Amino acid sequence: MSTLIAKDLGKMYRRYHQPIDSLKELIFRKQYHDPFWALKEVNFRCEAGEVLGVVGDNGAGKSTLLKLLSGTMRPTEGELIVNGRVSAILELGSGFHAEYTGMENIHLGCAVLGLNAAQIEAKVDEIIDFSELGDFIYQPVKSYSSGMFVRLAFSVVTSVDPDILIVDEALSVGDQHFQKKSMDRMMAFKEQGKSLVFCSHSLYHVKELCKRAIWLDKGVIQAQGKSGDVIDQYNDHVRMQNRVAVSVPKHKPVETKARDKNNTQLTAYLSEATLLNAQFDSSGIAVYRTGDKFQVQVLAHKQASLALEDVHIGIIIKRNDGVQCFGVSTVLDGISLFTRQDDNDLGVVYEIPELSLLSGQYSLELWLIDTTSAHVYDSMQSCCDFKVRQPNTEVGVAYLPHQWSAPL
Amino acid sequence: MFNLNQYLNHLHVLRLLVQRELSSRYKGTIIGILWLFLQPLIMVIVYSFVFSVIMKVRIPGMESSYHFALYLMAAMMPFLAFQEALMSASNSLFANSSLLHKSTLPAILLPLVPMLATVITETIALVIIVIAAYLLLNQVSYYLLLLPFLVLIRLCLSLALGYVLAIMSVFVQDLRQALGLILTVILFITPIFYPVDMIPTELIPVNNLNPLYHLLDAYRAIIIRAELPGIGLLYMTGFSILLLCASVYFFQKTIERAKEFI
Repeated sequence: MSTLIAKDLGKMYRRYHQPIDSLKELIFRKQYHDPFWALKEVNFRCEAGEVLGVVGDNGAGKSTLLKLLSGTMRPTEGELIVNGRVSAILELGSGFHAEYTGMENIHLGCAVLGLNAAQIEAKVDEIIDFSELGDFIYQPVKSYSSGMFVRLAFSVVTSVDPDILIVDEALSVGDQHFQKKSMDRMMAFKEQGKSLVFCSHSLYHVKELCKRAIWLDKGVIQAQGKSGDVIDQYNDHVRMQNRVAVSVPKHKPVETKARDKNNTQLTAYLSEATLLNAQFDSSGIAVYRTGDKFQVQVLAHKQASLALEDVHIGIIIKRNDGVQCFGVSTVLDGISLFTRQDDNDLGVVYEIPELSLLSGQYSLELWLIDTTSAHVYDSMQSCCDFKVRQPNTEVGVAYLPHQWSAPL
Repeated sequence: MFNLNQYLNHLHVLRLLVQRELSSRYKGTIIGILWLFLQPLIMVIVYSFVFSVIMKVRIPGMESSYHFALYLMAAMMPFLAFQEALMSASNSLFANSSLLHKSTLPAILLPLVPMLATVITETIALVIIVIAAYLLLNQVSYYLLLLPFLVLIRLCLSLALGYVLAIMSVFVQDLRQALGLILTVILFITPIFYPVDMIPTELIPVNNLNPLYHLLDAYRAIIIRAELPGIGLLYMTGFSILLLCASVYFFQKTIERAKEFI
């Protein structure tokens, strides 16, 4: 059974010069605002017993989405079907009143979530226990630290036996001990067949906790599906933003890169780089799985005056955030280039039998160098873009061979 | 979505909030809940002392020297409740912004809480005045049984204006500043400090339009004069109920917009 169904959900915020304009708009039926769509055409389902992760940059619309789901805000367009009792922690606290004590907030919070006086009385001790607040429960919550606050909030929203639990960033402010406790409780929820919507910047948590995930970017769903796939795509995007001063033209032909042969200043130049036997995805980018064979053919041309031994090729694999994953050259490996039709057409095929890179977006950096590796004839930056997708949830750059054994 | 269970639940929340609203006033104090009684009690004593013992204010037709003080208090206390209701309503959405934004509590309950609390304080004050009227003026009658209705009508008028104020204070910030001033003006143009006979005859029709006059005079009729309230109270009741319907409609229509500015 689907507990949450979103159909073409959209939320527009109206921005006014001054508040009264909003009222004028209602009366005079004339637009006074600049519309800002925080969410647009959001479609998804969440099944009972499913944990749905929501990731995205700041301002992507995550909080807006969670507010819509929790019912504290109404969508501007579209439809949201909610089957069951929703309980939510939004941006620290679920409608706590700062002036009230923890105890009063427990009563208020539970009552708002639909419990009657007797039910609340029965839960109070358990909530205080779980929050580990002790005597502080009689202090106003405005005096709480953010950790205490979220402990109380989490204890309250999870104690009311919701069918759908919505958890924003919040948990990240708890200490390790409480994070563990709350994770356990959330997992128990999942086991009981309840739905969880979980939003976090900790991609690792999302990947581990959620079966499915949604990546929101600028208010639209960029990707949704298996959490591993979605997180990989989101990671590619994040690394792209973090890259260190690498200029990457948006679209480059992947297969070949023909160079202007009239360039006479160089005594040798790179003419072509091609990924061999690659699979391409719908957007035309080569995709490999960790462990696949990786082959790239690099062709170059030298002027007759240059000796074959004095022309070498270096290849660096770079992730889209600028990390150099691996780089090696024919000089280093003591290989000479191969000649083709005539003596001045050179080439080589670079092969990695088992590509050990983990999920990410990568490209090649090619260098045409002399035998001292110091002189550069020519280079190609960011060519042969390709993606790697890993089957499991290891973290890091590459899959390193390893084994586990009994302690000595 | 609307069902009885949910409705009962909201009543429970409302009770919690009103309780808390009242208890917050004396929480941590030494004499505790007595504060709720002390304030109106002291006011009655001070007013009686100043107007009856020191200034010896007398209004034609009133025999006892305590008459004026109680005459004043009988209208003043409901007015203070009315004033407090409006002031707190205009602030209610701001004061409860976290509940407004982060919980599923219907927003219409938020201004209701402090306004309901004024019913309690008003009732306490009225009990004190009624007792004082009995002790000092030997004035008591079955008409006193009508007092709860007056309180209800007073609440109705407060709610009607309070809901509009709650919303309008969001859109027009100046209103929160101006409200205190406006209420002071109302306090003086309504016959509270003076009997209605002192109003110049040409202004009487204008005064008759003031719903608050009919309401406050009804309090005096019951407590001080031991007589049935005038027919004007009916006009005032109808007016309040109609206004309340309109203002609840206005509130529901505009609250989503107002939320965007809080």
